[in-house]
Amino acid sequence: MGAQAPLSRSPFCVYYCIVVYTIVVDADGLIKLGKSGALPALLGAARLLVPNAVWEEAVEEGKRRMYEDAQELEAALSEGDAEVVSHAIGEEAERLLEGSAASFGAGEREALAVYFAAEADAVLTDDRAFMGLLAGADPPVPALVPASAIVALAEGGRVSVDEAREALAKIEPAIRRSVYAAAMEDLETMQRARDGEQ
Amino acid sequence: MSEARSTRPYPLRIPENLMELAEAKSHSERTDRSTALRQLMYAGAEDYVVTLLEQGRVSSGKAAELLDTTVHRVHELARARGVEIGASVEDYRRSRESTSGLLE
Repeated sequence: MGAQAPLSRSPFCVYYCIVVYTIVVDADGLIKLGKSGALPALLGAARLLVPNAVWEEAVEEGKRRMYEDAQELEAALSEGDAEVVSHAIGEEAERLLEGSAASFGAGEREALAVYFAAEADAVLTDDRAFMGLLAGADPPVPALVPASAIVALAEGGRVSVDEAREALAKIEPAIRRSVYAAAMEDLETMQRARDGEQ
Repeated sequence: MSEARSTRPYPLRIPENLMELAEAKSHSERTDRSTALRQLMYAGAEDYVVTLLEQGRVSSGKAAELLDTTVHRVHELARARGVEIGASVEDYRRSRESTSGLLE
């Protein structure tokens, strides 16, 4: 793939200008990361924007249909100060959506709109069609897949390697076996490197 | 999404064998024939939408909209059919690369 959008594009500065990156979520990525138990760690590491339509899909609709995951998501997002935001689709997002052969729901459409409007740094998603759309942008929109987020959280010391393994195990049935294996291997390599340093 | 979806009449010739199946389903499930037919149609729709999802032709959000259900349920439908959806290893590697340093 070609050059990615630089991650330093929109650092959100807080006290002493600590850089906090902004991540927009779609329902697919949010549900899977919520299931893994790693969502609070991500909320501690980045500013999380939840588009209103995504909140509706993952939390409200899930609660109406009695999904326990939805209740847990609501609690984690509220405790972690995730921001529920709404934004109409702008020109950039519209152009990208029009040029795609795939069809998207209200959540993905608004996630794209929020990404451009908030000048965010990445989109958390595990949706193949949506990832294809993001990769087709110029420059490509960085997609953070749940397995990659978990490994990155371990890399950044936000969770231990063992906690990351447990998080991956929880979403093993929801992600591709090959991705699960690759993420576990990356954690193994990380653990060996850390053991070697000691 | 929680409100009842609007419906519309549509003229359709239904093969006798499917009518027989709907009849049997309506008897065993104590429902009327139209409901049984709609349920059969819906089961076919679920299979088709999961196929589209697997091929990356619709997103999970769109799949949920088409089936008038939730993204949670779409994940369950795919799993129940043994269909792997979500990022491929290439997507995972690309994600590791493009978001490197993001969560440190």
